[in-house]
Amino acid sequence: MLRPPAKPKRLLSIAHFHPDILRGGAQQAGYELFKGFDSLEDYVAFFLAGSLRQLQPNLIPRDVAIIRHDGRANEFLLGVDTFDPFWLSNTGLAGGEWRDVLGFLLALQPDVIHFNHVVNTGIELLHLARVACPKARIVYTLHEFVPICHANGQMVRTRRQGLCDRASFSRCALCFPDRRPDEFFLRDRWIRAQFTHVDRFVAPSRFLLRRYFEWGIAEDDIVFIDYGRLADCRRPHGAPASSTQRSRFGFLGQLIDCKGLDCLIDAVAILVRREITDFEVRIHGANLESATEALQSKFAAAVETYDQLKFLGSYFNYELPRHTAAVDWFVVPSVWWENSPLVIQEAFMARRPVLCSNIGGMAEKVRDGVDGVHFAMGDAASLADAMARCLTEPGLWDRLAANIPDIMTVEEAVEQHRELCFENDLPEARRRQLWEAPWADAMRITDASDAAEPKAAPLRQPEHCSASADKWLPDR
Amino acid sequence: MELFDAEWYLEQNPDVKKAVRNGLWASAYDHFKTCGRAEGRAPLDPAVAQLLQQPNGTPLNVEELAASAEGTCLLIGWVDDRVDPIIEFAMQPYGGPQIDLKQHIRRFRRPDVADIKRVRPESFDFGFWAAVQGPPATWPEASIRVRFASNRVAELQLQTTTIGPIDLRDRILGLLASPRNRASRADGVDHGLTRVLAALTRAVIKQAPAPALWRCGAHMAEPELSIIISVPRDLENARRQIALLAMACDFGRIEIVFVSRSPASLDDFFAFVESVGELYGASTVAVAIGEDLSWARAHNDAARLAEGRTLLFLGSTIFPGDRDWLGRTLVVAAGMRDSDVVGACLLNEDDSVRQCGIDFTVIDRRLRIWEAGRRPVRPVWCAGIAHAVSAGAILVRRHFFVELGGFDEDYIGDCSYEVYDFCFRTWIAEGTVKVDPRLIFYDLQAPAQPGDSVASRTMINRALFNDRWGDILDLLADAGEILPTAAAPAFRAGPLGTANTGSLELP
Repeated sequence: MLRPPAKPKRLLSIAHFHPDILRGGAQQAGYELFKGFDSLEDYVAFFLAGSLRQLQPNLIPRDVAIIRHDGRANEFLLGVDTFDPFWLSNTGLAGGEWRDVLGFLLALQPDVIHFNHVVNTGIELLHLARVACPKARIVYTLHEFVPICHANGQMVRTRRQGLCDRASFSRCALCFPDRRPDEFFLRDRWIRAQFTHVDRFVAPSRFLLRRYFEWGIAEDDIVFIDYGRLADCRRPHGAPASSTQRSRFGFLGQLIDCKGLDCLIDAVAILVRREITDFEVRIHGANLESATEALQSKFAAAVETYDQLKFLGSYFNYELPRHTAAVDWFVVPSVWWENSPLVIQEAFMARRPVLCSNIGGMAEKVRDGVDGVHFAMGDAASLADAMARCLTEPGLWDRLAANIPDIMTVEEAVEQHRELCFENDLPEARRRQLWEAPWADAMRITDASDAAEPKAAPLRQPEHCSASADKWLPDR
Repeated sequence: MELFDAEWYLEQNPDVKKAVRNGLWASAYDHFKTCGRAEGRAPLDPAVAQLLQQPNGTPLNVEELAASAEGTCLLIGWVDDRVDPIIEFAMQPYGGPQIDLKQHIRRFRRPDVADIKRVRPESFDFGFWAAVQGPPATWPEASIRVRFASNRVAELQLQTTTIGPIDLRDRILGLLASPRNRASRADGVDHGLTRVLAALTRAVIKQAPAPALWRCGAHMAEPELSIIISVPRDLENARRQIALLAMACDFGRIEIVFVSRSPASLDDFFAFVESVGELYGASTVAVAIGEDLSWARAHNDAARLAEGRTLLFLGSTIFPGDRDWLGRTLVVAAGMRDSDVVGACLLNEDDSVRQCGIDFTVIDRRLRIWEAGRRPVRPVWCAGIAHAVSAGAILVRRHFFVELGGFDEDYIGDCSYEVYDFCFRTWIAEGTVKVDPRLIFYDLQAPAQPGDSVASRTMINRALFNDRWGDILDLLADAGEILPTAAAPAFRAGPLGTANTGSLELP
C-alpha cells in the first residue's frame, strides 16, 4: 500500500549575525549547518539572523521587525535596536516587538529551533520560542562563554588580562568594578532560567563542554558535535612543492586583541633580532577597527617595519583556497580559550600544520607534535621558538601534515545533529533545573507533609548574625 | 449638636494636647468650649466642614448627615486624576436618564484601606458622599463613563452600593455609640467625624465587589493568591523578575497586581503588564500611581484591587531561588489560620540570610533610636514569631489587611516603617506576625542606592514611628524578649492609642 510521504520537519536556525553581513566563526558554522539541512529532502530549513539597526540602518525599516534577507525564500533578518550585553537582552524584543516575533514563530511552526547564539536576538527569544512552539525541540549550540562571562564571553580577566578558569560573583565584580556581585548573581540566574527552555545543548569542543558541565549543565543535556564544514572550495589549489622551505606562516581571522596578533608581531620581532629573516607571515583578516588603538598602531608600525609581515586584507570564503595555498603553516596565537576555531579546521582541510596557543579549544583540536606545534599562550618568545623550529627542523612539516585528521563535513554534522539532538528521544523527567539554588532540593514539595515541614538547613549564617539564636521562639 | 473632632483639635493644638495629657483639662472639647472657641481655634478640619456643608452654607451635624442621605443611594468612588484631569463623569442607569456625577464630586482621602486622621483637600482622589436619587435596584446595571482631558475614556474604579435610609441612620448612630468612639469622647459631643466617615465608607465598600481599573487578560474570580509586585521605573528589572518568578510555575489560579509609582511611560507599563498576562498566562492588574504618593498608598491601592484571599507583597528586588516557591507559598497561605502576617526569609546572593524577621533593639533610649535588627539565622527552618517582618516579601490575609486599615499612608516615600507599623498594629489587634522560612527569596538590592531624599524621608518616617510606638518600644526594652501584645494594655491606655490607625468595626 502506498503511503503518503512523511511531512518534512521544519527547522529554524537562529544566529546573532548573518555571515553575509558580518563575518565570524559562530555565524559561519551555524549558517553552513543550516545549508546542510536545507539540502535535505525531509527537512525544510529557515535561517533567522540578528541585524543591528545601528550597524546596518538601511537593511531593515524601523517599523519592521523581521524582513526577508536578500530576496531569499528562507532567510530572514531580525531588526535589533539595542542589545544589552550584560543581560543578553534584546530590549526591543522585551518591549514590544515580541508580538511580531511571536507571530513569525507561530506562522513558521518549526519542529526544531536551533539557536546558534542569543547575542543580538536576545535571550528572551528562548522563552518566546517555547511559548509559540511548546512542542518544538529547542537546541542551543554554545560557541564561547558569553552566558558565563560578561567579558565578551572569553573568560579573560579584564584588569590583568589573565585567563579565568571559573566565574564567581565576586571575581566578576572585580573585573567590572561598576557592578556589584549581586548583579552578577542575578545575571547568572536570569540566564540559567532562560536556559531551562533548551532541550539540548551542543558543544563544538570537549573543552567547552567540560566548562559548561562545570557551570551546571547536566551531562545528559549537552553533547559534543564539532563544526561540520562545506567541502566545496576549501582545498588549496595545490600543495606546496616538496622543495620549498616551508617558510610561509599564515594568520587568518579577526584582527582583534584576543586573537593574539600582538604576540605574533612580537614573535616576528624576536626572530628578526635573532637574524632569522627568511620567512614570511601572511595576515588575512577583518575587523581591525574593533581592535584597541594600541594594537592598531602597533600593527601598522610592524607592517611598515618588518618586510616579513604582509597584511593582505580581509577575505571571503571563496578566496580561502587561494590564500591557504600560499601558506605552509597556520598560526593561531589566541590569548583566550577559544572553542573550536574554524581557522584550525580550514588549515587541516588544506593539510597545513598549525602552530597554536597551548590552551583550551586550540590545544584540544591541535595535537602537539602530531599535527601541529603548541607554544605558551601569549608568550612571544615561545612562539618565536616554535616558528624557528618549523623553519629549521627537517621533515617536520611532512611528518605533521601526514597526521592531520579529516575534518567533519557538514553532511556528517547534519547526521549527528539529527541523531543526538533533533530527532532523538529525550529523558522524560528533567533534572534539577539549571537555575535553581543549591538548597532547592531541600525545599522541594513532594507531598503535603513535605510542604508542611521543610527539611535540612543548608543556609549559611553570616557573621553579623552569630549571636542569640535562641531568640527564636517556638511556633505558638 | 455642635461638630467637634477631638483628635484633629489636639493635633492642631499641641499646647492643648500637652495640657490635656497633664490633666489641666478634662478633654479637648472641655478646652474648646471654655476658651478655644473664644480664641478662634477651629473645632474641626475646615476640609471636613466643607465636605459636610449644605448648599446654604450651614454645616451639617450628624443627625442632618443621616437625614440628608435618606431616600438616596450612596456612591463611593475614587480615581487618580492628577495627571489627566477628569472633564466628564457621568452615570447611565439602566433604563433611566443619564446622571451627571461631576457635580457630586467631593474630594477626600480614601479611608477604606488606610484610616484617616484628617481630610486633605490636596489629595488626588475624589470620593462621593452623594445624595443621588435613583432606583437602587438599577445601580448595579449602571455604566459609568469617565472622559479625561487627554480624551482617554476609561472604566472608572467605582463602587456603588445602596443603603436604605433607616439603615444608614442606624449605622451612623451605631458608630457614635461604639466603644471606641465613646472612649474618645469625654462628654458625648466629640463624634470623631473623620472616624465615622472612615468606618462608614469602609462598610459601604466592603459590601461591593472590588473593582479593577487596569485589568488585563481574563478576570479571575476568587484567585487563590494575589501577588502584589512593586515595579520600578526601569521595566527591564521587572521583566527579569517576572521571568524568574514564572519559571516552571502555573499562574492559572494566581492573580498578579503590578504597582508602579510614577512609571517612565504609562503606555510601556501597561504594555508590560499586558505582555505578562499573555506570555505567562496570568491574570494581571496594573496600578500606576504618582511618585509623590507613598509606597503605602500604592500598595493599599493594589490590595483593594486584588481579589485573592491572601496577598503576597513582593518588592522589586525579590527573586525566587527555586521552582517550588509558589507551591510553598500557597501551602503557607493555606495554613495561615493562626497567623495574620507571615514574613519571608530573605537571602543574599551567597545564600546567607539577609533578613528573617525583625526584632527591635535599643540603640539610644534617650534619643529614641531603635534598630530594626536582623533576627538570628540558625534555626531558620522553623516558623517563628517576630516583632515585625521585612517589606521585601510578606503574606497577609486580605480580609485581615482590609480590616486593619492596610498600610498607614502617613508614612511617606518608600521605606520600611509602614510595614513595621502594620506589624505592630497586627499585634495590638491580637493578630500574629510570623516568619516562615518556607517563604524563601533572594533579596538583591544592587539597583537600590539611597540618596539624600530617601535618607531624609527615612528620618521623617522614623520620627513618626517613634512618636507612635516609642512607648511600646520602651516597654519592650524594659521587659526584654516580649512582643508588642504583652505591652498592649499600657499602649491602649496611653496617648498612642489615639494614634493607632486600627480598624473601626461596626458594632
